[in-house]
Amino acid sequence: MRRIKSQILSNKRLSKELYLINFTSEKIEEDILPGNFLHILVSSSLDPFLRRPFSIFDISEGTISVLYRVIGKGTYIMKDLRKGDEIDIIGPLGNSYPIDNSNNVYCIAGGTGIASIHFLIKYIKQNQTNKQITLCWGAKTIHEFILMNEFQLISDKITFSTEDGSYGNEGLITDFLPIFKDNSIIYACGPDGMLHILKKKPIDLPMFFSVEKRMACGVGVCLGCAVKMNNDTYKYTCIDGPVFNANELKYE
Amino acid sequence: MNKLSIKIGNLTFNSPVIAASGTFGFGLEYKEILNINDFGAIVTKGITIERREGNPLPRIIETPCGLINSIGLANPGVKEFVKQYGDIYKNFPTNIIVNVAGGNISDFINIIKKIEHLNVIGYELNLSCPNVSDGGMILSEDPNDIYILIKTIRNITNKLIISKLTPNLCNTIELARASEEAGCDAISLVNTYLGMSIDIETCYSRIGKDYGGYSGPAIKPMALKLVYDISNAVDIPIIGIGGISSGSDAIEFLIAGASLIQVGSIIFRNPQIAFEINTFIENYMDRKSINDLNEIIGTFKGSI
Repeated sequence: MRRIKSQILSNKRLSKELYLINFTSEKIEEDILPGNFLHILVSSSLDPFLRRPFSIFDISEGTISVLYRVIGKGTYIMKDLRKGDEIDIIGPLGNSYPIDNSNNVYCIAGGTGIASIHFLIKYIKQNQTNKQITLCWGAKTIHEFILMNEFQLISDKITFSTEDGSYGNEGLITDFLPIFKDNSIIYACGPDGMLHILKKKPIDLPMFFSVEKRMACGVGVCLGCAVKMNNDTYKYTCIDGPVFNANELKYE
Repeated sequence: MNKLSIKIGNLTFNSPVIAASGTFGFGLEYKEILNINDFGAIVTKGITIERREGNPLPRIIETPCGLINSIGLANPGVKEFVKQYGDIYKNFPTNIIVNVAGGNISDFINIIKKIEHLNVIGYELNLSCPNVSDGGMILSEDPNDIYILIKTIRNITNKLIISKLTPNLCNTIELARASEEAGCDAISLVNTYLGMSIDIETCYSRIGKDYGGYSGPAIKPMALKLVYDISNAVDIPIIGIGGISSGSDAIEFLIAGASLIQVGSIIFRNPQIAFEINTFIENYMDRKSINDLNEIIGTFKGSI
């Protein structure tokens, strides 16, 4: 974990609400693993007051990219950042997706959950080229499918679904999952609703969820980003997660 | 001597800036990105007799210039706390104050007896957690109860006793005076204000309980007023808390009558805040040719 002042290199609008921001990393990218997140302060104003946690879309030497949806006060300010503007970053934070020796990798992404999945797929492809990667990507509407060429390139197979039927299968991505092969691992990142449905499915494979929760500190002191475990205790998204074994999590 | 140092009794604080309970964990969580001894002391997360899992989710919601929390005193319980941190505190870069959260007098006594041997300078009595029904909140409403509680604790420890008061009652002055009479060493205030946030689509609370504790820069003017009132009502030192987010805010509290200050929510945003406040106060003292922090404390002149 470090705190850095980072310069914006680019901030591109990819679709109606989705933006991809690229900024200098001051070498923290050397410590970043898929699943880690950054805690970003986007403005020197006291409103919004808190940092915002973002998963990492991509890294390259000297830079980091974050995919975000303009959804509230923080991201509304973020979308207007220009090249040369400065942001204040604490990171990398949190744990990472556990990577094993399974032959097949299934990645299930909902909405902006695609961000950390993108980095994960790229990472696996770079380090374990023999793996078969299947991406199941669900969104509300066609506009959320961004950078399609790149995803086609890094995944071996992709299934799409949209809630409004504007692209791919109509409905939730959890209704269009493939038959999982043996010797596989499943990673999922998306809204709680999606993860909840996945958790209920009779899947007998290792499955890991990256969860999203509101948080204040990002380092385990405020205890705001609690997630409920099966045994009714809590763990914390920022230090115990954001990646959890699906078996541990309780959805009510 | 360090210009920023200040004493309470025979205890020296190298800086008047203290990390508030619940915003700095148990002291080590931020160690990779700041110098812990920029703080004159760290107040731990509130410790209860038994482990507490904490409140239902969600536990925090941001509001303009602040946040509402409903954490519910999640902590490992006193036994586990001693096991995990006892050795770490033997050699720690700054003073440790343990925030003690009892539901009744015997809880407070039992917790303090279990931690009295630790290398900590004292206890901040959590008389004012807004988020637990069996926490200090009920105890804190009656000055007589406060008096008996602190008197009882005074009999078992010579360490620093700090009474942390809520801003949510009308009789804060009586509670502060009762604390002083009972032998308390300092008063810290304010704990969080009670606050709400409602989702207008679902009509549900936006946190896991109907209301929570409201903190951040938004509460600063109200907290400052209460610190000013209480510093005029008692002779023991005041530790000012409430939305302090800059060196200038910290000095306002000192002028209003606080001897030390605590920073809380701002740490989440700016972990290096203690360093920044220290630097600001040093520059302020240089500019005003002030050599001792005591020359600032309680110098409010009223209105022109």
